[in-house]
Amino acid sequence: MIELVEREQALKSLREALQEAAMRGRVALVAGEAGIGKTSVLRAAAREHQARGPVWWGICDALETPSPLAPLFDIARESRPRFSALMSGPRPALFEAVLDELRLAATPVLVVFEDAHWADDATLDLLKFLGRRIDRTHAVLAISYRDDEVGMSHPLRRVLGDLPPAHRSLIEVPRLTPDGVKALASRLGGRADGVFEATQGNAFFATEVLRDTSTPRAAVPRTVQDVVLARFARLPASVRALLQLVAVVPGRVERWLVDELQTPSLNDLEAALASGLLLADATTLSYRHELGRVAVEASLSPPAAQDLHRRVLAALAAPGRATAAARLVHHAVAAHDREAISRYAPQAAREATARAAYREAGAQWRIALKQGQPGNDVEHMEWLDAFATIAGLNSWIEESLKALQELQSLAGVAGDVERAAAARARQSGPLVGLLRHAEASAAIHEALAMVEPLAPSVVHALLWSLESWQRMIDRDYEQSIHWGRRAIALAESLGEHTTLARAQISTGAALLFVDYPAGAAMLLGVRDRRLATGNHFGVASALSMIGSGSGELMHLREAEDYLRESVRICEAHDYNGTYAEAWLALCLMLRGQWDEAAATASTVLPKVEGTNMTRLMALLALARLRLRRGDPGADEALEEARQMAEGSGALQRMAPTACARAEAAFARGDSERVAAEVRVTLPLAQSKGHPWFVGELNYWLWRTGAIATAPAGCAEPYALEIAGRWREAAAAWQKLDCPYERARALSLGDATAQQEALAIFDGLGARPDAESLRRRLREAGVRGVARGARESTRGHPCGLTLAEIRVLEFMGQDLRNAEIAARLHRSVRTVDHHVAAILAKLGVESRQEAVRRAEREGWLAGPAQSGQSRRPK
Amino acid sequence: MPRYLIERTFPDGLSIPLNEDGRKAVASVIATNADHGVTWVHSYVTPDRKQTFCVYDGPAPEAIRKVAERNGLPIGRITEVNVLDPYFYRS
Repeated sequence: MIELVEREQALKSLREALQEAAMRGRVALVAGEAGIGKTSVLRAAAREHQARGPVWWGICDALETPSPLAPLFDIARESRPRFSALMSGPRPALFEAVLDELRLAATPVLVVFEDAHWADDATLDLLKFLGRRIDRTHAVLAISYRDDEVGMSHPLRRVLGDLPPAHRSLIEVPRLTPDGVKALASRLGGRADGVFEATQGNAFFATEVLRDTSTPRAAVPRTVQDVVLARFARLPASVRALLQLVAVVPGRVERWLVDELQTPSLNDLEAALASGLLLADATTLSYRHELGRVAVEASLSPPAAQDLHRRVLAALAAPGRATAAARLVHHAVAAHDREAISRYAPQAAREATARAAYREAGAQWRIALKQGQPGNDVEHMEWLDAFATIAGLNSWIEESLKALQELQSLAGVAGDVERAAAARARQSGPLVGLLRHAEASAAIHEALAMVEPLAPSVVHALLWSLESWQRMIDRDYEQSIHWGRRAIALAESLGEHTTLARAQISTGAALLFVDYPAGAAMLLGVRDRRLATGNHFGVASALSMIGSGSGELMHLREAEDYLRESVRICEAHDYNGTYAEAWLALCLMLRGQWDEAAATASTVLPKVEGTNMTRLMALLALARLRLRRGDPGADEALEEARQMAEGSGALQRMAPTACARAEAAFARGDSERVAAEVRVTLPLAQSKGHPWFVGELNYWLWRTGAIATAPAGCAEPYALEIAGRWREAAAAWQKLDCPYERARALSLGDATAQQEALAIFDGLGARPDAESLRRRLREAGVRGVARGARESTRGHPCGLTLAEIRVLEFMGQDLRNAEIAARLHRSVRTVDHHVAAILAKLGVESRQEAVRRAEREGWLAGPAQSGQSRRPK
Repeated sequence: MPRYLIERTFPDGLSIPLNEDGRKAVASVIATNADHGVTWVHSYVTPDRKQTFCVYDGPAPEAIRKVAERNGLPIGRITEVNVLDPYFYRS
């Protein structure tokens, strides 16, 4: 046990969290470098808490590829909670049971997850699941990790970022001060001089040095390894052998395992414990600190380490020892035992898949394929097939593609045409992910040619559904529907449900573009069937598909509803719903809800690094917002978007990028750039018959004066604008619920229309448009041009925000929330939220009271005095 | 982290008294900014106190707008800027 010095603050924070947990649970993040004393603080808190309530303690081991949910297994084994019975069952039910138990606990529970920087994917999912719901429990979820090893891209960082800030606290365990080292020295009876300088206040290192009173110390050891190994070297050979055995097993070693391999004498055991390097409980041995274990392990010669791993593996794998396969793989790899790797890695991969720990499953398949040896080609193909699927789920796109290519060639050699064709066609998925659309199409066409001579079978249904999907992605609606219908009929007759649903989704999505109600009905049908079977992930992805399709077709209200529902389901079940979120940002931007659009796009971006379609769509939302607000950063976002979109060759990525870039080029008066953006993309949009893309691209050409009339195929509002019918165009945009586009149309109308446009631009915060229109109006000698909208507010005495003051003003005009929402281009939900916030901040019970107070304090100055422009009614 | 110059207009004039109230007002702005990774470096105020130019560090213009909204501060033009120090150029 590291002596507890200078840890009062950390301990106090945990103590307070545990007291508060009687009312409301909390996440405590215990962070600090290796050896700093995180475990000691947690152990001290656990000792105090034991008398009052249960302590659950789980440890993430430093296995090369960790065993899924290993810490939860620790808790199940040692604390015997009620959820133990569900450990081998499906994951959602298990997670719910853990949560329930913490929710219904009579006294606060201290739940410790130690060393979470080593956690497997399933454990990370559990931490996120519990962490996001912690306020509904009576538990303190204490998560310890080495913060210096958790970089921005570490999987734990994502989980921590998703925990609600209101219900988590960060407990940083600091280094010891020089006084702290002195206090520690006087407790341990060691000499403090030079120790702080050498150890820099690392608690484990300092304790080890100070504890070393056996010989006169010439100099303080330079590293923690030196001090551990110096102590190790002084022990008798039999004790060293014991310590070496324990060192090759990360985490805790079972006593039976030690006894079976070495039968240490009681004297040796006691000497090992007395050395301070080992700890023991009733059934296990472990190093007092991971740093000690690593130091001893690293000192082993390679043959000696290999031999120890081989013996540990043999004992753990003996019949009747139910050892987790991941643990066996760890030792098999270290022992270079190819045969054992081939046996246990696939088993570990399947166990991880069953627990939805896909990162670990993928890592195990990787080990099997690289370091193992499949028994025959059939087994090899099975491994590749499974790895390709898992790699796809992990977005390891290149690896998934490579596995499918290998699978295809193996199947080809084996003469299994159907398997080879399926592998070839499945390459379209990763290829689209890499934005290599032409190659994706080629892959499916080649596969189709391979199976053409064969009688229709399961693989035909699969290929046809993939072709339908690919045609839909490339916006060849008629062909997508054609192949989709064939796939649906065949899959139905064969009872292939997965293929059937996939074909229905792609067919329905393509149908949206030809016959919107029919497409929507088909997609909603899939949603309903998935809802009936409790397939929430499937429901969310069907909604995401119909939502993004509706958005591209400017059915914005429907789009917003479907996308919000998809995002809600993803949030409730911890799925990745970023594509729906990115599209929601685009729809909110078009509907004039710019603050929410900006917030949504800003949350998506950090979650989707690299080249992918979700990042592209979020960037486009952000770029248009920045352009329209006159904020910096639009060009950077559009440049990143261009690079992604160009490679794709896909209309649905290239066209919206070109439209946004044309808007930017027009805004800086660069007509040539507008023409260049249109030149590349317009022919593609025309060939696919996409009225919205054709319309907007032509609109920008018209604004530069390059064309005078609208070519065929433009969506109505754009055709009206190009025809100079601004009044009708504005009405059409209003019907679509696009206030910015409406104002843009009005700004090209007569003086009255321009005044109206100005009010809308001001209300939206479209500064550049408002400024240039205001200048034009003044230059034209129009009188009474309203001053800027957002120039009137100062820090409010009650802390009301700008938006709240605007809502309060409308409340003063006796408007209902729905009316206010319409005036402000906000959702009713947003206005509800503002009204509640106003009542709370003013400390009043009713709207009337709030308005009376505002009038009394003079906050509702008339529009003329405040300079606040009125919105059109 | 990018640096931004933010122009704000206060028609009634900005007033942050040099007392406990002023300290509280500034501290609350700083605390709100910190929630969004934004730092208020300093500001320049016109003599009539109706116009301010604030230098902020922040991850993106959206974060600058978010904290302005939460702090109840008006916001006009946001411009991304870099420091140019004339005394850095030595002969």
